[in-house]
Amino acid sequence: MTLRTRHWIVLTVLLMLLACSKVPPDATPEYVRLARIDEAQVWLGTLSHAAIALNGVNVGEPPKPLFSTENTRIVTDIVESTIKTLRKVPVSWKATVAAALSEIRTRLDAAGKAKFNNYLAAAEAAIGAL
Amino acid sequence: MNPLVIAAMNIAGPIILELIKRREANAQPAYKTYDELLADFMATGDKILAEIDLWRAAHPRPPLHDPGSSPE
Repeated sequence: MTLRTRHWIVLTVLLMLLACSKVPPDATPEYVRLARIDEAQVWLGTLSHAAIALNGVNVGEPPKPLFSTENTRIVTDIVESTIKTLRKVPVSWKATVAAALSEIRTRLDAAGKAKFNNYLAAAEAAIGAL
Repeated sequence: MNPLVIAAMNIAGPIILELIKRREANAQPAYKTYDELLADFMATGDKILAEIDLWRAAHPRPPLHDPGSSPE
C-alpha cells in the first residue's frame, strides 16, 4: 500500500473520529448505546464500501480486481448479517461487531488480508475506543 | 495515477461527504432525540444494505456445486 493511500486512510479515520455523534450529558444508557452502535455501523459501512470500491478497480494484464469478488462477498455478507443482528440484538453490540471484524480477518485469503488489513485495523481501533 | 490512490479517493470521497453532513447536523444546538437517533441509525443501515444489494446484483453468486455430481 502506497504512502499516499495510507494518508487517505488516516485522513478518513481522523474525519470519522471528529464526526462522532454528540451525546447529551443527561443521556439515558439506551441513548448512549444507540449512539455507539450508530458509530460502529458507520465503520461497518466503511468496510463494505471500501471492499466494493476496491473490487471495482481493475489492475494488471489481464485486468483483475484489486480486491477479489470472493473477498468482497465475504466482507459484504458479514457486514450485512452484522447490521441485521445489531438491529435485533443491540445489547451485545460490541461483541457482535468485534466478532464480525475477527471473522472478516479470518476468512479473507492472504491477498485480501494484505490489502484490507489497514481498514480492519482502523475499524478495530475505532470500535475498541467507543 | 496509481490504482490504489484512485481506489482510496473513491472510498474516501463519499465517506468525507457523509461525515461533513453528520458534523453539520451535530453542530446544531439541539441534541437529537432518541427517536431521531434511531431513525438515523436505521437510515444509515438501509443505505449500507442497499449498496451491498446493488453490488450483489452485479456480482451474482456462482451456482452451488451439487455434491452428487462431478466437478467437471
